[in-house]
Formats: sequence, structure tokens, C-alpha cells
Amino acid sequence: MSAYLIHLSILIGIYVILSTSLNLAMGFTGLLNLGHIAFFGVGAYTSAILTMAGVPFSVAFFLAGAFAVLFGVLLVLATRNLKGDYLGLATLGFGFVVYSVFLNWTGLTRGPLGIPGIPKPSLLTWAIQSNTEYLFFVLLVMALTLLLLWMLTSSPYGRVLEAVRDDEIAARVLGKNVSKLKCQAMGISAFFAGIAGSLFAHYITYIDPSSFFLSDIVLLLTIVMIGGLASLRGSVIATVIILLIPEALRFVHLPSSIIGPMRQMIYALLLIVILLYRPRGFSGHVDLA
Amino acid sequence: MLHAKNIHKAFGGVKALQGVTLTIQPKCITALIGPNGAGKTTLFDIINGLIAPDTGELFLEKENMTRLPSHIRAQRGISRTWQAVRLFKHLTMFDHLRMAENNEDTNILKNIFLFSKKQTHTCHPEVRGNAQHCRASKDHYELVLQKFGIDRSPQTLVSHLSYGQRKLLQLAMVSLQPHKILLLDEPVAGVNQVVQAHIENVLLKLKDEGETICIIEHDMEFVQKIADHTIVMDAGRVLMEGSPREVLKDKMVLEAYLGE
Amino acid sequence: MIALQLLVNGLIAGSIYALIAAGFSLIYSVNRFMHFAHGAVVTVCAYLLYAFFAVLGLNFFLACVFTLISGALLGWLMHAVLYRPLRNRGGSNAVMLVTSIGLMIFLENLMLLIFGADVKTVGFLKVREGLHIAGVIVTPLQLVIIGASALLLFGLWFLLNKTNMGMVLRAVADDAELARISGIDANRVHTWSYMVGSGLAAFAAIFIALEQNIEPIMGTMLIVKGFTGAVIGGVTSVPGAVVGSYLLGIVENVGIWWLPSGWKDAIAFTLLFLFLLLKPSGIFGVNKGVRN
Repeated sequence: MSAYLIHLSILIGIYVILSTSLNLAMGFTGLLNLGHIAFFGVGAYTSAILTMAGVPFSVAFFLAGAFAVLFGVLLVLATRNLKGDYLGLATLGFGFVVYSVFLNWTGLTRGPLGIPGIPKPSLLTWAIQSNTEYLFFVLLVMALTLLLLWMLTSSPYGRVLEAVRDDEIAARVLGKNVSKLKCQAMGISAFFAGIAGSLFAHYITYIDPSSFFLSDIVLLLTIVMIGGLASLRGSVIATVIILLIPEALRFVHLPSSIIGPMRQMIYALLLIVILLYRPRGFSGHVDLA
Repeated sequence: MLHAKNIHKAFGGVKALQGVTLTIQPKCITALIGPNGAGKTTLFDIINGLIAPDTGELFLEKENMTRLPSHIRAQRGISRTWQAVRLFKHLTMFDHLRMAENNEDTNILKNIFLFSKKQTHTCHPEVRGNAQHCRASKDHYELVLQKFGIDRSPQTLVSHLSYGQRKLLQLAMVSLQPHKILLLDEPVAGVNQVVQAHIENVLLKLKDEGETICIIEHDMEFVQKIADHTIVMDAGRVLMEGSPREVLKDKMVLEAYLGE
Repeated sequence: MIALQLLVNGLIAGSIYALIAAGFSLIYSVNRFMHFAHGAVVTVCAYLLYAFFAVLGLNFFLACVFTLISGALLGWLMHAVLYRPLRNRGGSNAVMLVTSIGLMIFLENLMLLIFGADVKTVGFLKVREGLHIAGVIVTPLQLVIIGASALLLFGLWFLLNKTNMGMVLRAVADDAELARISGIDANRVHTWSYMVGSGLAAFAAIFIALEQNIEPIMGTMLIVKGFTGAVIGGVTSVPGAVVGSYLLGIVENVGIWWLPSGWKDAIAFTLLFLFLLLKPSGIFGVNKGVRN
């Protein structure tokens, strides 16, 4: 049981990084990014492929983030004229493109077969073998992520990002370099998604394209919307709650063929219900525009 | 101060501006008047760099601004308000004023690592525990708000302000923003007599402080009260220039304006 | 000859995409929002056909009729329960889009839960040898699909352009506010658009169910294809969406001449992404404040 709790905590830690980083782009900066899971995937694949090729984990870990940043900045530059639902669809399309590259560039990613046997990480002299150690590592990364995001979003910089979200043109006329700010926000957001991907890959030790598709986007959206846009605290709490809810299904002793779809249905239903009845989530003060 | 040279702009088939050339003189209030659709706001948008002109050039104190992006123009000293007030609806007046006052807030590293003594921390509703910093700069902004006659705490969300207060906040913002020229798009449109009189005082005070101001205005009475110089636009052209009195006497202007 | 074969394959795929895209585009132009769950409607209808025909053992054509009716009812239901309340609460397009993505995942997993993960076949038609026409191999079913789609799309054109209902639909699509002022019951028109659009999706579902296996996640791919077709042609224009879909089908199938066939879906994704970036109003669409 405690092994199970550790497993769950590790996943929650990874998803906290993912959801809070998405909230930086989506909630604070107003970039409706439905392709966030692609950054997660890019990070996971980068880190897995590099370490399998003998690159030390610490290097691969940061390159995972760096590659995701590259994609994030390119995505912002490419979509700079789009807004609202069109931006959402373009980023969703970007997610699909990345997904189909994972699926079809078999020389690099082994396609649908996935990459098995990803090594457990070691940092300098710390070989992270047991799950307990891994949990410590994840919590450490999560804490640093939250600290950085909190410092960023509670500083005047965070207010400028919110200004970009509320009225881009007015922000420009106040002298703010809006395209640079968007690139930065998306880049930071992508960086944390990338390192979360690395954490995920080295924990599960096996990745395939199916982990980075639509259903996980819905999970992330559910978390961010329930927690509330532009609320880091909301995203953290929502991640814990949302990931724990389907665990209740385990105690009803349902077969896994039922638990899987049920979990997705619960997430999707929660997303719909929150948008219908409490569109600002439980701790947000901003509408999705 | 600001010089626009032969500016043309067409939207599809509609010719919004057809060769506008004008100069805004320093340290006085210039009023840009003309009927709806004369191209006044389009001209402001072009000066701001929100719209690119088809042809023509733009100079701020001899520096050619024509190709600069809008945020650089703002940094070089062009400040602007909007006819339909544009504020950031989820932020407080404090946030607005600080954002207008300096551009330090766009520097990530400074914001994360160097907690400078003044104004680095904010009083966003979610953030607690740094009331000290807030208070220090809050006083500063309270004075600014007082000067502009906004009788609310700086921590008020702008969505809770009245329309007149929002107009005043815009004025406060542009005056705090480091600038060489103020472009005010209908500063008194839609506000009541009391606020209008108040804005009039504020503008005259700003002029006395040596500000260069250009306003778009419909209310001729108001223009007569405050403007030193008037530029009349009609159908994308400059019709004439002169003191408000001269302009009002002109027959062409009356025709353009009143359609008589 | 291979070129011709690929072209015909493209036409077959395009026919299905066009049915989906036409419904999607109709719903978009009347309601101004991206009904992504349109793909899940196709999935649900395909499973319903399977249930009516293979499980309940109804007569095939009766099963088809029931499927079409259910499709239209599903469209009505989604609007009444979800989209209309959301709009009335002032939900933005982004909210509507996210909701419909949630709805799609919900419906897909509902099908997975009820019918299981294994593929289903309707099995009404026996697998037959294809006909050789001018060196191209097509099955009779594929010919029916091409013909029937063309007929249905003509029917839609007729409905939109030659009937009262179509006039009202187009009026709301053009200017909802003006239409409301002129006394058109906008809510009823919105409902119609969902029912007609979903009905078209049900037709597509029947063809797909006859031609290939049914699986829960097929809707995602289908809506991406239909949506891509719509974006290529112009989401705001139903005929544009139809032409765009045929183009997509052909490009995809001709494209695998050069690329490994696994990249077929990637072609659509890339086209979608490129069009959204470079020409979001599509080839034929009118730009109605799409950008900014």
C-alpha cells in the first residue's frame, strides 16, 4: 500500500509541475495552449533518447527542458496572429503534429513500439534507484518549480503577463514588448513541461506516443479549469484532488477495462460541469476568453 | 514635437487617410477635431504603430518612427489614452500605475532575483506577507490618484471603478508613463459635467507643467476652453489649422462639421 | 495507373471527410464555434448502427434509419443540454471549444465502456472482390459512398439555397443579431443546424461502419480530418469545406506515394497547422474577424 502511495505521489508531483506550468501560459498570459502535452512529450522523448545514448541524466534533464523551450518559442512565433479558439486549435494541431512525429519517426522514437528500459536517473553521485528516492527527487523539482513560478507570478512581471492577457494592444501602447513577453511565458511554461516529461520518462522507464495525446490534454485542462485560471495554488490543489478521485474506483474492485474509460469520463465530465457551473474554477478570478 | 508627413491609409476600398501632414507643437494643447469618420482615431493608431500607414512618414523630435514597433514608440515617449477606455480588467489601479510608470516589470531576472527596495513586490490579492513594500509605494500612488481626483484605494480592481474614474485613471497612467507627448482620444466623452470640469482642470494643469498634449474632441465648447491650436480633419484630410476661434469662424469647417 | 488509383482512393476518403466537414462547417457558421465533439457523434452513430443491426438484429435499412434519427437527436441534445446553457452564460468561444473537446473524450470513453476496446464490424456486406474500372480497383460499396456523398452534399446545398429553412440558416450565419431583429427564432435555427449537421455525421458513420472496423477512438481522427478539410476550404463556407475535404482526401492519398503510409495522418495534421497559421480563413472562406 505504501508503495502505491509513493507511486501516486510521484505522479501527482509530475502533474503539479505540468498543470502549474500550463497555468502560467493559459491562465496568466492568456495563451490558450491545447498543445501543452506535446512539450511534455518532447521532454520525455529527448531525455529518454539522450540517456539511452549515454548522455548523463543531469544533462539530458536540462536538454529536455531546453528542447521544449525551443518548441514553445517557435509555437508562439508561428501563432502570433491567432487568438482565442483559433489559437487553441492551432496549438491542438501542433500537438497532433508532434504526436504523429513520435508515432512515425520510427528511426528515432521506435514509433508505436515505444522506448523501453529507460534508465533510472543518477545525479552526480546520487543514484536514484528506489521509488522513495525518486519521490524525493520529484518533490524537490516540484518545489523549485513552484517557488520559481510563484516568484514570477507574484512579481510585477506576473502583472504584466496578466495585462497581456487582458488587453494586448493596451499593453503594447504602455511600452510592453508583448511578443517577447509571450515567448518568455510560453518558453518558461514549456521548460517545466519538458522537465516534467523527463521525470515521467525516467520514472515509468517506458514511453510510447499514446501517453502524449488528447486524453491527457483533457486531464490537464480539467485540472487547470477546476483550480482556476491564474491561480497556482488552485492548480496544485486541483491536481491532487483530480488525480485522487479515480483512485476511489479501485476500492470498488472494478476490472481495469472499466476503470480506464471511467477515469477519462470522470475527467471530461468534471471539465464540462466546471465550465457550465463554475467557469472560474474554485480559486480563480479570470474567465477563459 | 511630433510631425506626420503625407500619411495615406486605405482599408480595403475605404480611404481613411489621404495625405495627412501635420505638426504638433510642444508645450501646448492641440485639438484634433472633425466629424465622425474623418480619420482622427486612425491617425492616432498610426502614430502609435498599431496600424501601418500605406505611405507617409512619422517623426518624433526628428527621429523617424515610421518603422518602429508600437512598444518602442511608447518607450520613446508617445503616451496614449483610448476613447473606449482600455484597462486590464483583472488588475488593480496600483498595478496599472506601476506598469505605466516603469518598464522594469518586463525584466524576468530583476523581478525574480533582485528584490529592489521600491515597488518590486505587489499586492495582488493572492500574495500576502509583503505589506511593507506595498505600503511604501502605495503612498506614492495614493498621491497620484488624489491629484487626478480618484477617491479610491490603489488596491481597487479597475472593474470596480465608475466610467469617469476609469477615464481619470487613464489620464493618471499616461502622465506617469515617461513621455514626450500625450495623445488623448476624447478624454471627456461620456462623462458627467462634474468630471468634465475636473478633467479640464487636470489638462490645464498638465499644460502648465509643460506637457505637449494632443486631444481628439467633438465638444467644441470644451475645445475652445482648453486648446491653443486646432487642426480640423474631414474625410481623411487636414481641412485647416488655427486657433479655436479662427477655426470656428471658418465657413468650410462649419460645413464639414455641421453639414450645413 | 497508380496515380489514378491513389486519386480514386483520395476521392473515397474525401467523400467521407466532406460529409463530416459539411456538418461541422454548418454548425460553425450558424453558431460560431468549433464543435469538436462532432467526431464523437460519428463514433456514437457507428456504434448505434452496430447495436441496432448486429446486436438487436434489426433489418439493416431500418437500423440505418434509426441511426440517422439518433444522430439528429444527439445533435439536439448536445445543444439543449450543453451548448445553449453555456452560451447563455456568456461562455466565450474558447470555453465552448474546451467544452466540446471534453464532450468528445466523454462520448468516446462511454463507447469504450459499453462496447469494449476490441474493434467491431457491422458485417452487412460480404467482402467482395473489387471491380476493375479503367485499371482502378474499387468496390461497389466505395462507388456507392462516392455517389451517395455527392448526392447528400447536393441535397445540403439545395436545403441551404432553395428552401425556407436554408434561407433562415444562412441569415443567422450571416448576421445573427440582424436575423434576431427580423424576428427569426435564433434558438430554433441553432437547433436545426445541430440536427442537420449531426444527421450528416450519422450518414458518414453508416458509410464508415460499412467500409471499415469501428473503434472508440476513431472519432478523433475523423474530426481532425473533417476539420482540416473545413479549414482548408474555409470554415465559414459549407461548399468551401466540402471542396477542402475532397482536396484533403486526395492530397493525403497521393502523398503516400512519397511518404511511408504511416505519415498519412501527419499530412492532415501538418496541413491543418499550416492553414491555421497562414490562412485561417481558408481558400474560399470569408474572413469574419477570424484573426484578432
